[in-house]
Amino acid sequence: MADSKNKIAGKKPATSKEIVNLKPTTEVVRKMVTPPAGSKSRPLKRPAPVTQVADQPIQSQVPTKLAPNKNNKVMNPKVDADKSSTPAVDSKLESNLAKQPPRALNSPVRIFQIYFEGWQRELLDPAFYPLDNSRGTSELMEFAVFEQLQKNQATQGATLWGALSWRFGEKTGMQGNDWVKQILEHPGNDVYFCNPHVHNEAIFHNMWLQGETSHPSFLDISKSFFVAAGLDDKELTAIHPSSVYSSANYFVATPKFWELFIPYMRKVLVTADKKLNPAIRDVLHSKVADDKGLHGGATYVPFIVERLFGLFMRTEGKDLKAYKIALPERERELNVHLKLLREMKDVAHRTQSAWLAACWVNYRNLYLSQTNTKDWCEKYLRVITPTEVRFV
Amino acid sequence: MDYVKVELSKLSQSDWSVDGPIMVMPFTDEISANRAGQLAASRSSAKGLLLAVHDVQRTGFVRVVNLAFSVTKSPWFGYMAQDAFAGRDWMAIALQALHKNRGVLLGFNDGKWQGALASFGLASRAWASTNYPSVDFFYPGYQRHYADAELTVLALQAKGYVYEPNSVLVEVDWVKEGATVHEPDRALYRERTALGFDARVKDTTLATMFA
Repeated sequence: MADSKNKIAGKKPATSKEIVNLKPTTEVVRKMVTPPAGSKSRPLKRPAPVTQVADQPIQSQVPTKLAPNKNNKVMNPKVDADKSSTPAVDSKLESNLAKQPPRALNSPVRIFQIYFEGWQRELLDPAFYPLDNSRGTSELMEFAVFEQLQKNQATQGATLWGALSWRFGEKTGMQGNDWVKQILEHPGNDVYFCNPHVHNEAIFHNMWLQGETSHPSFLDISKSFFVAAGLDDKELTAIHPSSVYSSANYFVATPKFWELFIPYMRKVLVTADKKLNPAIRDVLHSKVADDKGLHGGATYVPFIVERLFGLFMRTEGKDLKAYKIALPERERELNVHLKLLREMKDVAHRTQSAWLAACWVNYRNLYLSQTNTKDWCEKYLRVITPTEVRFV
Repeated sequence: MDYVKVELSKLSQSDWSVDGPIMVMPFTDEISANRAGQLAASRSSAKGLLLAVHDVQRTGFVRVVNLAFSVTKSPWFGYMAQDAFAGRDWMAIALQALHKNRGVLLGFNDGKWQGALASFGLASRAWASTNYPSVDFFYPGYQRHYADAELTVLALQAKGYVYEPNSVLVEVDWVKEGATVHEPDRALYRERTALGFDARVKDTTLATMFA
């Protein structure tokens, strides 16, 4: 870690009183209803879901038939019944089938795709197993699904597993098959991940500072969280290389990774919760984090958890091997400035050059002031520009 | 979707936070609103909120939509009128199309503009929040017309306009076909066209589309 320091701009950190003044929303009206009884929704084009994560064991909802009808035709059950009689079922076979996951779930790489509503099923990727999480209520979101999957029969015996969101294709611009191909072509890693928000690699020191522009007082809340959890809060303002940027929790990993990652996160969360000032803890678990309701009223917790991956990989997970899957569609969206900025920042990091990092900050600030409103720049530019240059 | 009716004066007294889309439907005729709103909610095949706002004081469509936008929280925000007739699964299909195409604004099949204009539309709140310095969904200078045209042009400029003909939300205007355009709105639109909508629209073909 370089120790050179360049003063660029400063902002007085918020006091805990200021953080506490962020009042959690008290009267949230949730308008979520299932379609009324008798409504005729369109027939679904995809097979039945593999599971309902929230309450039930995965195996209990595995459909008995995963293979689609070869002719893709709707069969008339009456005509079929007339043509052939159903053979008697061997009771032993029936019992074995009930105990074991279907053949598809015996593959070494098992990637689940979480969805919440019927209309999302048409957007799911056929290379993944649909995972109905409509009854999931945990504020941890994907992380709660990881915890449940780890304990579930559906992931036992897999060499790699993960759970991606129903927006995987939209966010990554990739097909599931290509994602799996990337994994198979780069064997021997413990975790495969990606960063769908590529532009952040060019314009932010790290994802913690990026969070400040998306969630109110994110840095102050995160700093309090780090202190309470006993983590090094220098992480929050240091320059991170683009290779470690990760968002959306798109991980496919070995059981070894999950065995380290899940307890690490759990320990950090529990420790922080125990030691945090109660008023700040209330804000941490409040929907203030999602002030526009863009993330389903999420609290600060999932936004902190998704950003802890990099720190985990440099500490408890330092012996694990990671492979970052490139997203060509997202890369194509970067303009020339973003490409240069990212490269410049990465070179500064690689060479530990405080001078080049300062040049990057100046170019970055110029870029942001040309691409954002005056209000945005006044609100965020100083906050996302730490006073000293430090590298992780 | 849930169907909820509220008077405009009481709109800001509740915290409307929804996980899915919010469709606001300003209305002056309660019978029409109930008929349109209840049918649309029951045929949406998606979670969300259809918020019917009673414009007792005749504040105007644009202002009501803007006020609703400022007091609600949701990833998607849309607008429709009391004379709308919803096709089956209209909202589910709209959401699928927006996600498939990474769109920011969807124009429903209104039976009138064939997708050229989102007379009834559904927008990403993240995108709509960046259009104007104020917390407005539509440009607040318009009263009745052209606000949707400007929004469509902005979405086209952002390469995020989506039209999905299977997502049907028809405007049933038995008497409006021959109605004239609100002249001050037309004049304002032309004025804003000349300025490229606050320099947001650089493509001159787009800027003059509805002028």
